[in-house]
Amino acid sequence: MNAPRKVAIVGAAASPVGRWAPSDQDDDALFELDVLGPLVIAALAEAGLDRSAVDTAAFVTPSPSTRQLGFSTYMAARLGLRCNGSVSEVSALGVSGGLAFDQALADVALGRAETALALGISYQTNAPLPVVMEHSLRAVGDVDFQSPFGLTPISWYAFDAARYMHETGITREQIAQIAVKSRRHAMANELAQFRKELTLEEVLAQRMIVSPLGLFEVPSVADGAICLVLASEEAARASGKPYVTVEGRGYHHEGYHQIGGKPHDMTAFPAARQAARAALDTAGVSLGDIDLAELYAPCTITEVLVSEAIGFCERGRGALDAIAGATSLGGRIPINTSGGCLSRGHPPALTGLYGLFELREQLLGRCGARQVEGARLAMHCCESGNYNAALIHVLEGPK
Amino acid sequence: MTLPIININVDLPSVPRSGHFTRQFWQALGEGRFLLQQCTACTALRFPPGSICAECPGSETLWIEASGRGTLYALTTVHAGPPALMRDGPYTRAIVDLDEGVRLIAEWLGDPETRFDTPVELVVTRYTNGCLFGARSIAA
Repeated sequence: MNAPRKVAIVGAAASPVGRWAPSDQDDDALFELDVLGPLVIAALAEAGLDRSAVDTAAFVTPSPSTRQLGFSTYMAARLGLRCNGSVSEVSALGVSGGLAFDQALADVALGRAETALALGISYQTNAPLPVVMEHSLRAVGDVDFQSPFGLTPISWYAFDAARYMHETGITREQIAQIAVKSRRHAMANELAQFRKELTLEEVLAQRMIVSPLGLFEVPSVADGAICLVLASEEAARASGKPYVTVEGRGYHHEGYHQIGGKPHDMTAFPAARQAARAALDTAGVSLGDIDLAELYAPCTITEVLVSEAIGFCERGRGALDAIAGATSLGGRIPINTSGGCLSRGHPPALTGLYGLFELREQLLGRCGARQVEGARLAMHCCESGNYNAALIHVLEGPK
Repeated sequence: MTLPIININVDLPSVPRSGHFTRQFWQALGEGRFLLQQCTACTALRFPPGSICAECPGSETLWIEASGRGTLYALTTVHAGPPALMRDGPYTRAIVDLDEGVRLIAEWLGDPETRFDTPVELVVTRYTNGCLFGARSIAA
């Protein structure tokens, strides 16, 4: 075994997030290959590569409404890949996108692959809502002791919000400001699902979904497709094309699923804190060096809590800092410049890859009206459950 | 202590399975007793019940009966849930910390605006096709 190599992201392509999954009645439908295939070719072309270079393809496991099974090996064949590293499907709820990236990263770092893809396509809007609901209840709770109570994935974040408000005195109105900020960021992101300006009054006027969270404080359903291309930094440098490097990586699973079986501080998100510490340590940098972050946050409250857990904001100040502009574009630490889950959109298993995509665009200085000036170091975080597990990567832009 | 049993004259859309390590729990629940497993090696309480201890290599367990008393940790009301559960409108769920040191989800029988960190008791919610458990406020 060779010593691990430093890895670079050398290409990427993504579909806009939105409602575009084909219906069974549409005889002009684009199926999985038809959407993902052109993205793979475009992402490789950006890196000056073609499909013959690919040794590893780490697919995010597609959503249950995807008809094709055996997805990774089927799709590798249809994409015309011949792989010496690995072809796999990975999933662990919301951390899935980050895990696919991790698999591609590891194969390049260990010398198993010269070029590796982290990719996926996710259909969420073509399944009947009762089916999606029933499936999600079983994913986010013990199927016998919790799922029968009808707790949808976002209800767990609603518990977080209620508890946080009780402990801190912070109000729903203050937390809801995250939705307004997310939309302001998304307005300049052409991949975003929602780009029309949003006011706090509009957010608060929506119908309740899971109290205390209303329609615009929780994510919408969305489809997505994305491909990232990874290679060794050495190969990236030799190509002469711009690239970003992966400098740090950290992961922690706290040992609970949703609430677990023992009393503990549900809103502390210790997995995010520990994963961030490990990622910063491996990168050899401190939190204050980070210029921007993409943090997996399906609901307004989730961004507040993970911002605090990682240490971007003091405990109890996540919403207040957002209101003061500290976590907005132009602020001390811009968070979710893509618009995040609430406005960029949330195809859950792919959200991690979309977050990494945004950070690469930022570090390459391509974000136009939403560019973070002088962005050099960026942090990405995705999670599963109620932040029971977190996976964090630190990326660095061109030297 | 026997828990109050509240009869609810409709079917439960999703009935919990009863298995080798859980049937005693569901049987006792139907009789108004809330059982917890305790590891005989490390004394850790286990909920939900199951075959192994997450804390130690011990494999033997005792069943102990919970007091049915605890503290309300958090509430949420689900306004957009599966259609089968929404038949009677929005429903409220609680996170309850039992006095024995176990955290669980329960149906909430009471005011959705109830203040957290206040005392609660468990109740059995007996549907026409199976039982779940709920919680409601009690005087401190």
